[in-house]
Amino acid sequence: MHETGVHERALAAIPGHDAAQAPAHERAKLRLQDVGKRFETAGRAASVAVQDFTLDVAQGEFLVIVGPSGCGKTTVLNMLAGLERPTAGRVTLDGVEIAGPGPARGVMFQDYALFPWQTVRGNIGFGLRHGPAGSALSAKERAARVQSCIDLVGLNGSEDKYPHELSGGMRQRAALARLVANEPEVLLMDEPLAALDAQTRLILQDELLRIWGQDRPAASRRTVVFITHAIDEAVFLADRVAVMTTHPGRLKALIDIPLARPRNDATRASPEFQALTQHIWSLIRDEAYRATVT
Amino acid sequence: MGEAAAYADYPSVRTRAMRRGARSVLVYLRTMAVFVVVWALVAHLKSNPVLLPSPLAVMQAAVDLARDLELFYHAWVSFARMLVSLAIASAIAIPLGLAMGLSRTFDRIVDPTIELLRPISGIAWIPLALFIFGVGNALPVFIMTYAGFFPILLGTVAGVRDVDRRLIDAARTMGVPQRTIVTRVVVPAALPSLMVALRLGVATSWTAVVAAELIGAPSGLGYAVEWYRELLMTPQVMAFIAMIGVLGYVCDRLARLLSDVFAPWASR
Repeated sequence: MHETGVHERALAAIPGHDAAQAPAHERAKLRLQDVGKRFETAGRAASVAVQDFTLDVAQGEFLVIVGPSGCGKTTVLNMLAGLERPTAGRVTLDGVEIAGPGPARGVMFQDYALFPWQTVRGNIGFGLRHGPAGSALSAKERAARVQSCIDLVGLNGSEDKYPHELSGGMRQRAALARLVANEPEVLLMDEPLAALDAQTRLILQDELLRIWGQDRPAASRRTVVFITHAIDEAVFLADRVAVMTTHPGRLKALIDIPLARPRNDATRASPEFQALTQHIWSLIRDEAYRATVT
Repeated sequence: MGEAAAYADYPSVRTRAMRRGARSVLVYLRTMAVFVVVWALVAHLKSNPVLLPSPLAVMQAAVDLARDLELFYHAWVSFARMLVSLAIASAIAIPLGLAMGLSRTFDRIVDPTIELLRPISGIAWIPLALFIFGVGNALPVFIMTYAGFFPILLGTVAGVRDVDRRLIDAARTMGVPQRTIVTRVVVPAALPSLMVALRLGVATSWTAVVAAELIGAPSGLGYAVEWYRELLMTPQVMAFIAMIGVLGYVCDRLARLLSDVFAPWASR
C-alpha cells in the first residue's frame, strides 16, 4: 500500500514539479534555472558535468541531493557556494544572482577543510575573526559565540586540540561548529558524514537535525542543501530528495519525504522509511550497477 | 604534547625510552669506532703525518685549539655569517617566492632569470665578488646568501602552490577578504614546506662557507683550514674540518627545532 502511494507521489513530482510548487516558488531561497556546467580541457572534448538543472529550494527546507558518484552533485553544490560559475542558466539566492562565494552561504566540505594550524576554538572562530560575520561583535561576544558553538556540538574538553588530534567524528563536529558560528542563511554540505563509521554516522545524523532545528517551527530553520550517496541518510534527513543521474548530470526525480518531524530511531524503523529508501534505490540502481561493472 | 608529558610519569615508559636512547648511542659509537680504527690503521701504514695524521694527533690538535678558544672563535664567526646570510636570503626569497607562488604572471616574468642563475654555483662568483667586496665579511656573506637563496625560494614557491585548495575555498565561503586569506591561510598552510626549504638553505649555505672563507675572509672555519694548510699542520686542518661537520649537523638540528616550534602540526 505504502509502496504505491510513495510511487505516485514521486512520479507526480517528476514532470511538472515546477507548476506543482507555484507557492513555494515565491519564497524560494535558492533557485537553479536551466543550469549547466561544462568543463573545457585544452586538447580534449569538453565534458558536461551538469545539464538543464532546474530546482528551487524553499526557505527553511532541508534538501538532499543523491546520485551515483560522478553525477555532478558536488558541481551543483559548488555553484550554489559560488566557488564555480555555471556555463549556462542562472543560480540565485533570494533572487540575486550568485557571483562568488559569500558568508550568507556556508559550506561544509567533504574532508572538512579544517585549518591544521588552528585549534578547535581557532577554527570555529576563524570566520568571526577574519570575515564579515564577526565584524560587528566585540572580542568578548565573539568568544561567547564560539563557546556556544562548542557547546552546541558537544566538543567541550577538546577546544584546545588541533585537528590532527581529533577523531573523525570530532573533526566533523568541529567543522559543523565552524559552519554555524558564522550564522549563514544557507548551509551547503558536501557529503559531510561520508568518512565516518556507521555508528558515528547515525549519531551525527540525529545531531545534525537537532542543530538544524527540527524541533523548532519551520520558519526559524535554516535552509540546507546536503549531498550524500547514502540513500537512507537522504531519506532520514530530507524534506525533499533530489535524485540525480549521470552523464550528463541531470535531475531525475524530486521526491517529497513526508515523514513526521522530529525524526528519530523510530523513523528509521518505520515501513514508510523503508518504502521511500527502496523507491529511491530503484531509481538509481541501474546506473549504480553499471558504474560498478565498468 | 600533553600526552607525552603524561607518559613521562610512567617509569616503565621512561626507562624504556632511556634504554632505547642508550642503545642508539651505542650503535653510533660502534660505527664511529670502526671508522677510527680503519683511519688509525691507514695512518700507521702510510706513516706520513702531513698527508694523514693519526686520529690521536687530530684529537690532540682539537683539544689544543679548543683550549686556546681558537676553534670556537672561528666556528662562531662562520656561524654568525651563516645566520646573517640566511636572514638576508629569507628576507628576499620568502616574499619573492610567495609572489611567484600566488601569481602565474609574476612567476613567468621572474622564473627565467632564476633558472638561469640557479645552476651557477656560489663558488663561481668568488673571483668576481673578490673584485667587488674585497677580503672581509661581505664576500662570504654574499656567497652564502646566494647559496641559501635558491632552495628557500623554490621551496616557498612549491609550498604556496601546494596549499590545499579546500582551505582557501573554506575561507572564501566565510567571506574572508583576499589579502587576509594570503596572510591567514596561504602563509600558515605553506609554513611546513617553508621550514623544509629553510633547512635545505642552511645545508647549502653551510657547504658554501668553506669555499667562500678559503679565499675571501680574514677569519672563519674556511680561513683556518687554509691557514693551517699553508703551515702544513694537517692535524689542525682536520680538527677544523671536523668542526665544520659537527657544526653543520648542529645547524640542521636547530633548523628542525625551528620547524617544530613554528609548525608543530606538521612535525608528525
